[in-house]
Amino acid sequence: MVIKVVSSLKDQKRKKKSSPKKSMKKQAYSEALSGYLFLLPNFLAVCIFMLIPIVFSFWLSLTEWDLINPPKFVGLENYSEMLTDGRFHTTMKNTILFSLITIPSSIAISLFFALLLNQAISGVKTYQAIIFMPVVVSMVAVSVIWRWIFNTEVGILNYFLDFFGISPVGWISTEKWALISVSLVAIWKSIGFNMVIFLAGLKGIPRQLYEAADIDGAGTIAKVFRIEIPLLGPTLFFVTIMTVLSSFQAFDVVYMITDGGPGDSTNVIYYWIYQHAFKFFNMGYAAALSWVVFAVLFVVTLMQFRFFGGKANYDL
Amino acid sequence: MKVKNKHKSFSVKKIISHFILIISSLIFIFPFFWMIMTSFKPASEIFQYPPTIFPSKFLWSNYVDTINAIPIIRMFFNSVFVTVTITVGTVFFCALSAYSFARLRFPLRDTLFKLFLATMMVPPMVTTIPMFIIMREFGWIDTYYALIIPFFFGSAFGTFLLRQFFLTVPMELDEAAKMDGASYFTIFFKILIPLMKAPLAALSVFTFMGTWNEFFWPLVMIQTDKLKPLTLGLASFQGLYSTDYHLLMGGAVISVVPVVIAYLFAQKYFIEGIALTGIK
Repeated sequence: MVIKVVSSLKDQKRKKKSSPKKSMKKQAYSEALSGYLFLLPNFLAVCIFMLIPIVFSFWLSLTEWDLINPPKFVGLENYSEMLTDGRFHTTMKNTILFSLITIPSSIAISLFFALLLNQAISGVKTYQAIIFMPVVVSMVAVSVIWRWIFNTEVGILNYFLDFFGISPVGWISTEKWALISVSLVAIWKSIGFNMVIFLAGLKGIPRQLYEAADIDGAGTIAKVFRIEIPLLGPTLFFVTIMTVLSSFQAFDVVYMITDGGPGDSTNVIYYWIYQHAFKFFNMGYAAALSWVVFAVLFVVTLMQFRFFGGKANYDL
Repeated sequence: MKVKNKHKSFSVKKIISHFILIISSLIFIFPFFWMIMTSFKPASEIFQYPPTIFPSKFLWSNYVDTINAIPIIRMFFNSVFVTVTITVGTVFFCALSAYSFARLRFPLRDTLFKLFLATMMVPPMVTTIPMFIIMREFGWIDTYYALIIPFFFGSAFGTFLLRQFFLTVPMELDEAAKMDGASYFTIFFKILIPLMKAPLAALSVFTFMGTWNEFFWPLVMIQTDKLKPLTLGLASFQGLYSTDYHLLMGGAVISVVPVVIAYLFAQKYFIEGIALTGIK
């Protein structure tokens, strides 16, 4: 196909430029040429579709533009507007709340399962496959299913609670529960992913440590808290960063299950930015919002490196 | 894998573990089961309370109704086309680029790579907004170009990932081949690629999964039903038929089945791929 043509062309180019006897300079030249050529398509793509948009976005954030009229330069007005935008504060609050619920729960539960599956019990592969399944399907499909499960009148979840005499909960119809429900779905979907990473980390713990602990007569709990969790430092660090990044950027689940509602209770920042850019066509303000989110994420990640970076490296 | 252990609590611990795992597995599997069951129920039975677990009869006609309600077959092929193209392109171009960064020497190499890393830090919401405007300028909105081209030539992440693995292969292999007169491309293709099966499989799996399940990008770029991938199609479907849960579940089943089948067959690659990235 196209790829074979391109690759054979490249091969021919290589053969044309190389001759049996070369001076060192020609070698270096040919190597550099290959170097640039090989990375060219990939690099160009990153330039055109990442670098340029980043710069463009920065400029955009300093303008007011609805795509119909020409863009108007407004300097830092978008950013100052944010300080008084009540709904922006609400969406940031929701995003932080959502993250505070999702992140610890997801990490704790997936760590728990990883510890369970790290034992020499039968059926580990099967359990792992089942727990990981929600990860491979789209959040859109998952949301469609959970929206049905959460249905207040006839949803299966309320029916299940009915068995225990609990009256129906308005999972996605009441402001009180909507954010929690959406968070639940995000947790459910992410556990398998984090668990697999934790499992890989657990496998890296040397057996001698367990054997030494056995000799000292340590029980399971002691092993978990004295050996496994400390040595999972780097893994925990990685998982935390990934989970923070994904919770702050939650979008699909909100779009599909609650549309930001009821009221503004599940309006998270990414959804808010989406509305500004593609519903209200406030391109400038939306761009500015996205940069603020980037700044927040950057600071949060930096803080994690500073406080936990020490644990990210260790020598045994 | 069975470990001999003298402690008496051994079997109790195992039983409790199994108990917890079985209950938990039910929680992870039930929504899928429920999706399938609901997809076969007659419309009247959906809103029954108390709900029936199994449909009174398995209405395959629900799926016919779904296919007639939205062009889901077309959307299915859109997903396949976009996902396969992007996966093939990404793996190839990222591998080529990663090889270059890992193995070849040229001026500004490390600076360029740092630039790559920098772009990885920026969240997609920052770039999607200007990209919409750029795609508009190119006239690519509502075309396959917008869905494929920006991703076809690979990403910074893919190159970063593969470069890590290229670095672990000993240089002697390259040098031996070079002495035999092999071109850089031959070294790349005939020698290094076969050694990179695991990371390449991991990247393929990630890219496949990520692209198949991608929602935000097509949401912004595509308006016509004919071009929508399954994720976007399912969302539009829910918008139009929000209470026809039997049809919605059918749509969900259709969008989920390919990935689940790929997953069940290539489970090893999915899970090991994630583990591999985590370690690196």
